[in-house]
Amino acid sequence: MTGKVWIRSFDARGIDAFRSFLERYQEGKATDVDARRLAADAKLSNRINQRLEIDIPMIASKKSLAKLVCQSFQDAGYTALPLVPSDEYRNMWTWIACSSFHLIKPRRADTALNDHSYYVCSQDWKRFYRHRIAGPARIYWMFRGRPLDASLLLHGRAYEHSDWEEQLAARQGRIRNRDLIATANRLYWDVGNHRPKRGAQTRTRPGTVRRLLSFIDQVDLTYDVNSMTPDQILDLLPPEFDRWKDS
Amino acid sequence: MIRNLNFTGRLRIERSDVAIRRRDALDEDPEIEVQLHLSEYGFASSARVYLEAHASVGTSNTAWGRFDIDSPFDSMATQIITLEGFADVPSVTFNVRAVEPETNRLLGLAEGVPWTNLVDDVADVEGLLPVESQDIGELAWKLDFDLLGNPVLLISSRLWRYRGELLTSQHFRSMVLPEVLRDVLSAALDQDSGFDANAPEDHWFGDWVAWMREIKELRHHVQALHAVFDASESDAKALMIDEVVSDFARSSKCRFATRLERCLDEEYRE
Repeated sequence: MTGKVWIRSFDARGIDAFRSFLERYQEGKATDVDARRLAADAKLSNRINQRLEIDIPMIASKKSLAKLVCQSFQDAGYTALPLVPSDEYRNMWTWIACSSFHLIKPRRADTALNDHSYYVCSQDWKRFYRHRIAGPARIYWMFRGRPLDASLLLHGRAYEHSDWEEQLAARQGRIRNRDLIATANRLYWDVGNHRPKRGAQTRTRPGTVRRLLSFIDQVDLTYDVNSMTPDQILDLLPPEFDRWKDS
Repeated sequence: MIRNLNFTGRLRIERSDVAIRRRDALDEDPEIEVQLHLSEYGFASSARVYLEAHASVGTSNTAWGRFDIDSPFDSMATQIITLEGFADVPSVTFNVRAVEPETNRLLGLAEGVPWTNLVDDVADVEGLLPVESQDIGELAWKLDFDLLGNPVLLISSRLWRYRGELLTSQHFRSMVLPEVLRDVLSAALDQDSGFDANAPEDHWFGDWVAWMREIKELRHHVQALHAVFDASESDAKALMIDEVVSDFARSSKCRFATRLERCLDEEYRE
């Protein structure tokens, strides 16, 4: 742990400085120590709330980092995660990303850094979920009463944006439907090995997650999927999904 | 192999049967008034009805909410819902889903219904009927026309500070709006108005024609408007105007006498 610090929100200069840092990092001209210095510079950010503080660890998985962030908000008395993209809160998620850059930095600096929305919280709702802090935190908060249901989405390293997140969290209608996510988890999560079942994301195999989502889009015209329990959704699935139910 | 489902059996719920009015300012979680008119769709009385709210496509917000409607088949019932987490959302659209509870089958669906401002609900189209303050003596209100001929609802400058209350009060709406529409139609159907039914978009009344098309009870009058323009008898026009105003008053969004009666009952019943 690095010690508790106030959670802050970048001002416009702070955002510019972080973007500039990302470019320099991509070129190999900056390190995560520079990110920590940037986050600590009080001239570039403002405190959000007197009670909102966080102790960022040196090592954390995606799930444990999301849990830690949510715990900070819960301890400060928040009853909902402030995801509403007012400038102040959006820039707060960017500040947390800057503070935790050592955890979420890409392992191959030439790829993910091309898209700043993984680190700079986007105004665009179609990219918001990609943010490496806000995206998993939103999922953890939504499933905090039943965290095992979100195993598919929260497994892995903090810096990874998994295809599970891309498929299941990109659309509001999907991620908000906890029972749909729980259904996907029951089909594709390997409970014994604590990892997704092998082949569950293969595009060419029957009954994989893409097929599930296209089936759900289809039956959504006939059924109110939001009213259905995981058992009811599973009962509705055609036989191609049987192998995933049974495995 | 995924089964093909070519017939869903669900009904399309007309947008005009869903009235969603915003009550509060943008800087707080907005409250909405929801009124549904589903009695003519033949849904089973056991059906559940859900309202889903989401930030309009194109806005940067991810807010989403789903609400159970308490008395969906009582068209007089108004449910007030607070949209938590929608404080900064500039534009919200709604879906209404009627669901058979045993099977979860979708019985009816309305998608992409916009909300309206309570004050703008006069005609549902922002800017259709601007409201302005003016010294009009002892008159409380008056329909006037600006230099371009566009209708303007004048409210006495002495009452202007109460304009919000006036425009949203059932008393004012019930008694004033039908007469506003009558005056607007009279002006538009006047032979000197310059309105051409074949090119309605060139005239201020074109927006009103578009508004009439949006209201189920008025839609059928739009074609008749074309015919009545060619009629020279003023009786035909007067009859037409009377029918449109009556149908407006009885439309599911208005039902002026019924709603006013309910208001008065609540105010004066011991």
